[in-house]
Amino acid sequence: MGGKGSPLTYEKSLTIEICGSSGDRALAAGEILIKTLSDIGYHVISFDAYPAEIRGFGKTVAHMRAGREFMLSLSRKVDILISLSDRYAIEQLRNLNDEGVVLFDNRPNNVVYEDLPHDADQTEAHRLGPGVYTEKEGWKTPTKDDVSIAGHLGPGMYLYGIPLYQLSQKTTNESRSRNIVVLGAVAALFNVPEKEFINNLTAKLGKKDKSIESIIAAFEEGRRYVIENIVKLDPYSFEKLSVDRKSYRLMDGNKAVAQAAIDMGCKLYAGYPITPATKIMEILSDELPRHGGVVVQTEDEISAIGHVTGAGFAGVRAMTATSGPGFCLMTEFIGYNVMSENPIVVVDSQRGGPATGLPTKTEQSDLNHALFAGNGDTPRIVVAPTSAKECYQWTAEAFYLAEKYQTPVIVLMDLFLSLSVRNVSLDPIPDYKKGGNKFPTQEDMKLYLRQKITDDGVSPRALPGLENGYQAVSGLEQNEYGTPVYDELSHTRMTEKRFRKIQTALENDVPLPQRIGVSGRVKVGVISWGSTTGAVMDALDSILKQGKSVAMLKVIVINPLREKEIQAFFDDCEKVLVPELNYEGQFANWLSMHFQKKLYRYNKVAARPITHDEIEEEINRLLEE
Amino acid sequence: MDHYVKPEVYYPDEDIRQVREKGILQYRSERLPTWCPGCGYFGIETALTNALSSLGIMPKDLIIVSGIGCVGRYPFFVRGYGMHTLHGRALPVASGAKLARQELTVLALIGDGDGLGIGAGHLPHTIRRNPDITCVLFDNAIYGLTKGQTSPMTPQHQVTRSHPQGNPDPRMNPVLLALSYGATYVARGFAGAPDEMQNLYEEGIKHKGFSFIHIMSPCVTFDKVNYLYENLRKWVRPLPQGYDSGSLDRAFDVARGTEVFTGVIYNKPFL
Repeated sequence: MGGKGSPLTYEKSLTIEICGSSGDRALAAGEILIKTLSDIGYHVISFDAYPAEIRGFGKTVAHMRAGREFMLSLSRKVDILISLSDRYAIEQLRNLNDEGVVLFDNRPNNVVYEDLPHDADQTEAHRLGPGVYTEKEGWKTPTKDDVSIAGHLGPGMYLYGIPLYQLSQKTTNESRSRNIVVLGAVAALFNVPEKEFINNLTAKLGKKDKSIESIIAAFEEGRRYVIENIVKLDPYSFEKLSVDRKSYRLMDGNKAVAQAAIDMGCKLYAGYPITPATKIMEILSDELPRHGGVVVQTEDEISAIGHVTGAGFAGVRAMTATSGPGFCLMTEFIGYNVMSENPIVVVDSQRGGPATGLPTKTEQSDLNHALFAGNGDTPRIVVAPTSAKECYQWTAEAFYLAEKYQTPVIVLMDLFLSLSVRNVSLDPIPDYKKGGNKFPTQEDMKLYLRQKITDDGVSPRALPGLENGYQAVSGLEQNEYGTPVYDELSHTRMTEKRFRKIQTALENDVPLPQRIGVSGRVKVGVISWGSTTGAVMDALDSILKQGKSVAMLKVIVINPLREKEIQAFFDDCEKVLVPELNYEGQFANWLSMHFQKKLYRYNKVAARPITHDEIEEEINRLLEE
Repeated sequence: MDHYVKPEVYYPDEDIRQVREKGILQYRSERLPTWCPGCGYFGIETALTNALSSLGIMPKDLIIVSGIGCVGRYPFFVRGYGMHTLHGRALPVASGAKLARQELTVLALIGDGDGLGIGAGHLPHTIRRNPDITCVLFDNAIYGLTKGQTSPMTPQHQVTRSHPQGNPDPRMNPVLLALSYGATYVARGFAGAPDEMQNLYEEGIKHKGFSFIHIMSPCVTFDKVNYLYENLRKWVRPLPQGYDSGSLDRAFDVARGTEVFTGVIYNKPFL
């Protein structure tokens, strides 16, 4: 192998895609690759795309970004495209960098297309050229599936052909190991240490596959082929970094949420399967029973939040997770829990909407619903973590806040946060956050009033099992005695009380929003929420290096808002940019309800996360305007 | 606090003292029931609190969950932990409470509109999951709290406020429904027979698993033709001597039959 690449010279990170048809096991290869890159010291983030409909074939793309520095978002352009199915990979070429690398199978004639229709249109086939040979059918007229990616590349791109099929057959006697062979080629081509690769291959496939030796042979064969036959021309390279990432774990947002529930002593999870939140239930179903908890798969989301409400009343921590359509069904119970002052945690992992919408695509369009869902005046706490790490931290915080302020807490994630895998190191939860209920004092017990009006708005809450803590909570308005009442004074004072405790939460438990970037007056300030904040942070990283006058404010608690600090930030900014992944600018609207500042909105409904380069372009545009 | 005057809907202190001393009604809260005079629910309340007394269940270990409707107000009149939840949603909430705290006694009180109409979807699945809760269906065959509309238990052709030309749809059969989905304890009672009801409640609460008790009760204000005390007294009869409540076939016969038998229709002991 000739040529010597300097490590990761291409800006600060590389984006890799492994593209295949469903049977090509592209995602498995991606999983092993990302784990290996994480093991050798890179920050990684991966976000796979797979067909929404369940069927035997379809485009599957393992998409990942790896870099030396901390990062929270994806890039728009791909640097390395690995094709396991040229038919689909050709479509991905439009995202490839002008100097990108393509790895492909250069003996595609031998690929057996088992899952493709053979009744291809003859005219179309004629247009595509002469016959091709497939092992199964012998010579046949080519179909559109027999095209090769080789002829579609731009002039500056690097193309490496590896006979994946032949090498796979040679080592494992089957074509299905092409994904392993290509990993060997990647290891050799981009200087990824093979030891970590083999460890991860064994860890991932060793249990399932009896023939782990032949798998490793396939990997070695791919590696050997590249070393012996390929002259490396591209500059990209991953070398082992000398940083310690022992405390880092690969996890997606769903795993982070489930882990937080376990660590916070959640005893009941009720849910109904819905993309992309289902995984939370699946993880907890496996793990919660070991921690003395229960998981119920209910008949619908109404029942799920009903179970959580009952458990919350009974005095245990309980949670449900869902996505937009399920969250709609839960609306009535959000109001109930506001009225009856019951602690519950609801995780809404947003997907494209409205209605069933785009079940497998990400969006940030449930903000209005999370903030306002419910009839009447229904104050609640809404938090929107911006990374997997914060999904952990803020789900834990949600349990604490719900219990302390006896109110529903909604954790807004999105499909991108839910499913993108990152390597994160979690901060431990302080012990005092594992409790939080305001139990009645002896003084309170002389005449126990569940709905007692207090200065901070939080009434003492007796739990079942306590003598004389008797109460009947209700969705009806009640007076301090717990009797349903409909008079002006009671309704006014009780409504005030329910809002007052959210203010108390703001003063005591909502952290100050973090300001990043240039201090003092700036030309452009960015404020965003949820996963888009990650893209803003990545964009700022590179913009600040160019010495531009830009700052951002990271807001995680959407309601209640830290108005004073946000106002101070706005006062510092000539222009305020609010990027978010929805059409109407829901967060910008929410800010407009609180502040007079003119906001520059940047909205997309792209069915994919906003990338850091897009934000960077937009900031630059505003700077030059 | 100072702005509040204790509302008039409370028992006089002297009454409460007497009630407490008698012991048996220690499950009464200090609030007076708001049901119409003569309502069948008074009988149900008395029988239920007597059953709790007789089983020695402490108020502190009791969670009563109700939905919306006249029955929904029940938790306000009972001393213990109560949840007056949303329309039709008593069963999921009760299941959640029981799963969270297995040591507590959890009752779910549903109405005919509440439990068989808006919340009917929860019934089969709660039965299927079989939590150890006791579900009492307060059936007065009418929507009482909204003043007399057709409920899923209103007989076909009966004239109601929402169907002045007569109810076009046939009524439901809650006992058959519960049996079909595999409930392991199914009973039927009549609000005018408190002793029998008390017995049904006691058996139901003791039963391990989901117990379903259908209670037929008159709405004296909005139903002048169907569930009247005199009609129900004529219709109901106890299960015949020697009835085997362990036989599912017999139970289905009772549920499908035209005669309205009361008693424990099916009771499959917990194995």
